[in-house]
Parts: sequence; C-alpha cells; structure tokens
Amino acid sequence: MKKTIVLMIHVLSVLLFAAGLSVVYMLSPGGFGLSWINESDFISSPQFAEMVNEDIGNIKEYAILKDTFEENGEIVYDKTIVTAETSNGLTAYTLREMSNIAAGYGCTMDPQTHRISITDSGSGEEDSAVNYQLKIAVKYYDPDYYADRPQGPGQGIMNLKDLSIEVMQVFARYYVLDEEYGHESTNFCYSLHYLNAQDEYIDVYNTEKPMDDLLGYPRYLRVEGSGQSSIDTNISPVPSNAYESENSPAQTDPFGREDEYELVVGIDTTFPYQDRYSRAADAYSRDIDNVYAGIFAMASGGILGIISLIMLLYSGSTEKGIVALKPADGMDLELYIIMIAAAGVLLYWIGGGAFSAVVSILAPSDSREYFISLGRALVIYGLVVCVLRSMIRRYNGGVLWKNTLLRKTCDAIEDFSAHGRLAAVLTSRYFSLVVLNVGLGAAAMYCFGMRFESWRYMIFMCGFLVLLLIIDLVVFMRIYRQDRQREDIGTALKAISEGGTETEISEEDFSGRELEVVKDINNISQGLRKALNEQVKAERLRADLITNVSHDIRTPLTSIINYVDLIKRENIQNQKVRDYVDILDKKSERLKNLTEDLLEASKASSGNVKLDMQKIDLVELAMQAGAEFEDKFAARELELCLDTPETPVYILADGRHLWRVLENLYNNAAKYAMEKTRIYADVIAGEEENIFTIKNISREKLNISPDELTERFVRGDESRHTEGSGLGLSIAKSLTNLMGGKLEIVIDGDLYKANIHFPVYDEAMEGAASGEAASSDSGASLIEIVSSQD
Amino acid sequence: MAQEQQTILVCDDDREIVDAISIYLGGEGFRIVKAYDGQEALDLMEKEPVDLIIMDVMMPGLDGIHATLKIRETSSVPIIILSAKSEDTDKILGLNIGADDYIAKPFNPLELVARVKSQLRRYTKLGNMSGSQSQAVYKCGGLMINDDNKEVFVDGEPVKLTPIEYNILLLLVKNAGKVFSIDEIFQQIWNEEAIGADNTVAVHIRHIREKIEINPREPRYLKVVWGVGYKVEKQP
Repeated sequence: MKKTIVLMIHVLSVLLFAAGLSVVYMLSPGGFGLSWINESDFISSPQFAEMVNEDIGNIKEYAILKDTFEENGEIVYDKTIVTAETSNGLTAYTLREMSNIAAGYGCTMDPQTHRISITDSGSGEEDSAVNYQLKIAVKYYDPDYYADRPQGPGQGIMNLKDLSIEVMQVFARYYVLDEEYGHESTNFCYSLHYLNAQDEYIDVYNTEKPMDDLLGYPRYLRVEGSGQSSIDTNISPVPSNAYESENSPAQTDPFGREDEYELVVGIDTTFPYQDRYSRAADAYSRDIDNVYAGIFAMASGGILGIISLIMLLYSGSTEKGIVALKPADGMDLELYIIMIAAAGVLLYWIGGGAFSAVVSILAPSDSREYFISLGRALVIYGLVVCVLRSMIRRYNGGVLWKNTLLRKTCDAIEDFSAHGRLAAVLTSRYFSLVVLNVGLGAAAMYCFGMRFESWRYMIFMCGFLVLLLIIDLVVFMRIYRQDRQREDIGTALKAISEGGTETEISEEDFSGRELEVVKDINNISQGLRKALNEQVKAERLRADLITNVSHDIRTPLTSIINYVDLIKRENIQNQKVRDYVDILDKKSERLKNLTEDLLEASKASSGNVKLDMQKIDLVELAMQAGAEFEDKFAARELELCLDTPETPVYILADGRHLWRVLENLYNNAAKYAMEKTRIYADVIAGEEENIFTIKNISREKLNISPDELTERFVRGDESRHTEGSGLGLSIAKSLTNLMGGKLEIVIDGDLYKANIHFPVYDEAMEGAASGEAASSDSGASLIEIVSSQD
Repeated sequence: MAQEQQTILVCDDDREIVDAISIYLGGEGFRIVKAYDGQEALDLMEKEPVDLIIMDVMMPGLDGIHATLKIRETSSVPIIILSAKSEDTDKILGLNIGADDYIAKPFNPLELVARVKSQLRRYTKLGNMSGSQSQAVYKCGGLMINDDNKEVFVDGEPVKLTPIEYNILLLLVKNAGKVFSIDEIFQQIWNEEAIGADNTVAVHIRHIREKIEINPREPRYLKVVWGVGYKVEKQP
C-alpha cells in the first residue's frame, strides 16, 4: 500500500520534472543558456537581441529586393531580373516575362498573404519549355550568386519553369518584407544607406526621422562600413547580422564599399505601436514567469523524485524487516537486464510510432524531436529504475551475486576444477568427440568439395561419413544408456525415500559406475528393510511383553487377593494384624487395577484395539454415564449438572470404547473433584464438531501441564495416594484418537476441564467405517483362533 | 444344601488357586474335586459324576479350551472358564466353544460363588420352573418374569423390584433383542414426552442391573448399548 503511494509520488515527480524541463526548454532561446532570466526586462534579453538581429537580416534582404524590383520607389516590371545563357546568346528576363511564364504554369500569388501556389503543373506544349535548360548568368535578386563560381554539377542550370517560379517566390518575399519594413509606425525604425553595384546610392528606411534621432532611442545600433570596429550599439548580445565577425563571414555587407555603408537601427522601447516587439515584450514577462515556474517544477520534481526514488528503492527491499524478494529476483541478473532491455525495445517498436504520432499532433513542429527524445528518456529511466530496484532487493536479500550468470559460470569453473580428474576425463572425451566429428566432417567435405567428380573419392567420403555416423551413434547409445540407468536409479531412490523398502534394483541392466551405485542402493534398501523389520518386531515384542507380563502377574495376584481375603475371613483378634491385612487388601486391589490399566494403555496406544464404529448419541451416552456414576458422586457429595440439547447429538464412535473414555473422565472427576462442588457435563452440538465437556474444581492444586496429565503414569499430583494407576487419561486420549476424535485437557487455576471433540456424524462416515469393521469382525475369526491354539 | 452334596471340578495348574477356590466353595457346602491340567480333569470326569466345572485356560498339557471342547462332546455339564486373559476376544472364544460363563483372574471370591450357584440353579432347577408356565411368563436365559403376580426370578431366585423397575424390565424382556433409548423407555413407562436431560431412567436401569446381575459392570441380561440405549439380550 505504502509502496504504491511512493511509486505514484515518484511517477508524478518525474512527470513534473519533465514538464518543467519542457517549459524551460520551449521558452528559452537556443544558445544562451539560462542566463537571460537574470535580465529583468525584455529589451536587455537575448530574445530581444535575436529579434533585432532577425530584423537587420531582413532589412538587408529587403534592400536588395527593393533595389531589384523598384525604381524610385515604384515596382518596375520591365527591369531585368535574371540573365541566362541560351542558344541565342545572353538573354535577359524581366519580371514581367518571368511572371507571365510562371502564370503559364499555373503559378499564382495570393494578394493577401503573398503566398505562391501552383495550381496547374503544366503539360503538353509547355514540355519543351520545361525541358529547356538555361545556364543562369546573373540573378539580380541574389548578390551572392555568381555564375562563374563553381557550385557543383548541375548548379546554375535551371529550366525556365523552375526559374520563373523561383523569381515569383522571391517577388512574393519582396511583398512580405515590404509590408513589414516599407512603412512607418513600427517600433523598429531603421535607416540603411549604401552604394549599390550599379554605383547608385540607395537609401532604405521606414522613418523620416534623421539618423541621429534613431540613435537617441533606448536601444539603437549603428554600423558604419562593414567592419566590427565601427559598430556602435547598446544591444546585447550584438546582432550577428549587423557586422562581420569570424563566426558569420557570410553576413558581411553584400553591397561593396565600406565607406558608403551605414545602417542605423533604433527601437522605441516604449513600444507606442502594437507590433511584434510589443507583443514579444508582453510575452516575455509571461514567459519569464513560466520559466521560473518551470524551474521550480524541475527543482521540486527533481528533489521529490530523488527522495521518492530512494524510498522506492529501499521500500521494495524489505517489508516489516523481512526481505521480500519478488519472483523476478530469482532470475539471473544478466537475464533480467536483457529481459528489461528487450521489453524496452519491444515498447519502442510497438509504442514508438504511436507516440510519435501523438507528439506530432500535440507538439509544435520544431519541438517534436525534443518531445520524442524526452519520451524515450522517460521510458529508459523507468526501465533503469526497475533494474535498480531489483538489484537493491537482491542486495538486501543477499542474492545480488548469487543470482547472476557470472557467479554460475564461476561456480561451474570451480566445480570443474574441484573435480579435476572427472572433469579432465570428461573434457578430453568430449573434445575428442568434437575433434573427431569436425575432422572427419572436414575431411569428407574436402573430398567431396575437391574431387567430387571421382567416384573413388566419393566412396571414400561416404565411408568417412558412415564411420562418423557410427561413432556418433555409439556415443549416443552410451549416453542414452547412462541416462536411462540414472533414471532407473532415480526412480528407485524416490521409491525408497517414500518408504518403499521393498525396492530392489535388478543389477543385470547396469554397468560401470552405475552398477556400483545400484549395489550401494540395494544395500541401503536391504539395511532399511532389516531395520524396519526389526523395529516392527521390537514393537510387537514390547506389546506382547506387556500383555504376557500382565497375564503372568494375574495368576499370582489371584492367589494373593484370594488368600488375603481368606485371612480377612478368619476371625483375627489382633488389631495390628487386621490393619496389615487391610493394607495388603488395598494394595493388591491397586496392583490389580494397575495391571489392567497397563494392558489397556499398551493396547490403546499401539492401536491394537478392535473398533466397532456406530452411530452414537452423545446425549444418551452422557446420561447413561451419569447414571453409572450417581453413587460415586453422591459418596463425595458431588452434584452432576448435565446440560445437553433436546435432540440427539450423533457422532460415529465405538460405544464401548467411548464409554471407557467417559468412564475415565467421570472417574477422575469423582476422585479428584473437591467435595461438595458441582461437576458440569455438557454436550454441545456444533457445525462441524460435536463436543462433550466435563468440568470440575480440583481438590488439590493443579500445578501440572495438561500434556503431562495425559502422559502415561502421570497424575494430577504426585502426592495423591488415591486408587488408580494414572493411566486413565492416557487411555482415554489414545482411545479417542483411535476413534477419530480429539481429547483436550484445559487447566485454569483449579478448574479442570476435559473436552472430547468428534466430527458431526454423517451417513458417508459409517459406510467407510463399516467396511473396516466388517473385515475384523469377531465371529468369523474365532475358528482360526481355535485352530491356532493346537 | 437340602439335596445331596453337589460336586464341582476345579481345574487349574496353580495349586494355590485351586485350594483357594476349594475353600470358598467348600464353605458353601460343595464337594470339590481337584485337577491340575486338562487331561486330569477329563480322567476325573470319567470316574465320578460332576455337577459343574471351573476350568482354567492356560495349562500345561491339555489346555482349558481343548478340554472344554472334549467335555462338550459327551456332556452338557455347566462349565465356568477361569482365565487370566480378560480381553473380549478371549471371553467370546470361551463362550463360543461351549462354556457357560467366563470369569477373569483375579476374581472376586463372592462373584465366583454367585456365578457357580447361578449356573447350578439354572442347570438343575430350570426344568422344574417351566412346569408352572402360564400365559404371562417371559423368559430370557436365567431371567424369568411372571407378569400375573409381578414376580421376577433370576436363576430361580426371586428378585424384588420397584413397580417402575419392574415395568422397565418387563418392557425390555418382552422386546428382548430390541434396543430402547432412554427417551423411548420414558415414553413407554411414563406415557409422557421426555423433557430435557433427565437420567432418571438410566438410574433406574442401573438399579435393576444391581439387583438382577451378579456383576452389574458385566451384565448378563440387561445390557447397556453405550450411546444408543439399553436392551435385554435374547436368550433361550
């Protein structure tokens, strides 16, 4: 339960960390690290500098396009845009021509968005034009293009269609830039002055304000010439598009003369107009908050994640102090790692596509890559945590080293070296087999491969192969035989271990070491058999001994009792002698009881008792027993309180033996209960068990355990010198057990309680029991006894 | 003792036991013939008439079981087996081969005398009793009930029973062989439903047993079927 919560927390904190990371990543400008968040306002931030940089780049492009397409501020369609070498020599193409050609291919420009779309791909007659290759000489809109500069094979060669579309795209770009930079009322003001290739002074600006005013803006930039030395700006970092640096040589002034070049940019940071800058400034403060939130999320997620990870790693290892290993921890570590890795790969194959699809729907296109790698990282992280957890569990369980393939290999090597001789023999045999196989196979291949045209070599090769097969077959048969023998031995051992002492393996089928093993097993089996027989014999001997001894004691005891009785009948005047005779009388009576109980206890405990199991009513039995003991109880002023259900309570038992059990219990109560107390006997009908209970208050202190009471020759108190052998409870317990019941003694202070439990009677029990009883029925076996007496 | 002295053959390999039994039975006026093994007993049987035999089982030479079997080939004289073996199987064996009673060693002298007398009475007197048979006489072995004058005889000796005891015994003897539970007996005798745990009936039956049995713990007539009820064994 606790573990689940920790796991949930961990997953959540990892997700939180990932989310925070994503926010920070998405909102941060690339290449500046996180230092920008120290800048409190937008105009000092790298984002701002980047925007300015972008704008400067656009201005330069705009200036070139303006120069290309315009004259005195108006678009001139007849200006030459491109010159190309054709079969007719150098041909100049004007914007008009180009746009007509492009229109001929279905190329149109949206007047609002200035997007180029090609509706008709053209066919038939245009094919010639499409295939008509031009070598472009000058692209007026691309000052970096030089026809003479080698630009790789095919470069500079275009067909008319592609050229016209390219021109149209550039023209559309001009429109876009013109819309952005051709008007006043933006926060971004600039003025660009330069001398173009045709030695004309070009001024491009979007403000009427003089350049010095622009320099008065809170953020400004001024570049004179095209060198780094002449830059003056308070924008940081310095926009790379504005000047030439080692990192960006391409951003140099394309316009030629340094002395005639001047770019001034000023940004009104009060942002009087609604444009990209004002929006970016708004977004910036929001972003900074979000980035802080993201960093906080990362930090808290990270800390929580680490804490919960540690808890997770340790919580998995122990549960209430006991090392709880999972089934997977039983697997070899290497296999486990491979399995986890395989699971990862499988996940990648199955879920990877779906995940990319989801990412491509949800995430902006420029951060798809990021999200996909984030997902990958999370999955790998999860798998690594799995492995770590398992490793820690293994470590705590002490099986980190044990359950590795490496250890098994080491063990195998150790085992191998420990049984050096065997290992060496086996290895040499195995290797000779392998070498033989490979050698003969190679030889056969050689013969077959080199000389297959010769039948003699063919026969030779076939002979080789047959020999190889025979050898392998012999080896296989040997291994098979050994294995089969081993299996036979295993079966026999199992049989012996399960008590089948009669198991004997025929030695004929075995040979070599197995034969020795079989002989040993047979010896063990014989030994066991002998030991068991001897034990059974000893047991029987003991039971017989007790029976015989008690029979043998009876004969002299009879004389003792009889003659003591005869002495008592003599009219003896001497009081002393009369007392002595009384003692003799009592003790001989006691001896008689002891002998009888000893015999009975011996039989009951050895199970040498015939049972006649019948449906017995416990209520009836309790009443009968109560009646039998009425006088005995009355003699000691004991009151028997019998509490039974109204209806019969049936169990399956031998009535006579159960009476013996109850007789012993009642007898104990009669003997050991305190005078003038009550004895409670209850019959309780239960769901599964029916119970007879007898309770009494002991006269003597019961400083003895219930178990000891039922042991032979133990009575409640050693000091008691009442009649009885101390075997009563032992007999009762043995008999109850024999009948499938249970006798328990409970001692609570002076309260002595005996419970007899029997399963509730049902028809099926009797069927099972009567089968047993029938086989040992008395009448039929009498004749056998008679005849055995001969 | 009014008649001529009855002869009892006591056969046991333990001389002291034979002597003790002789003293007890001699005191009751019986004439005792002693034998110390089975063969000797058989020889004595041929020489003189014997009214009852007390036979030990385990004896050298011919043992009690085989001696009894031999005797039963020719005579129906009552035989009481006296044995140190007290198990049920031994008793059943003894009774099955033709003995009339079985007494386990060590025995109570009074019980021995009682049983001997009982057997002799049954053997000698029962024939006469059957002469005065009327409709309302129920017999079960040595137990006889004359319902006309509400008299109970055990081996011909009258026994005094209370009316309830008499009714219970009559019920059981009339239905000899059938087991009656305490509830059934209660309903039959009191004509009422039995209420709760009341062992009145069981106590009555114990009293009856004490009156009609020589050894109430090992009854010959009124037997306890533990956990089921009570019955009178069907006997000829």
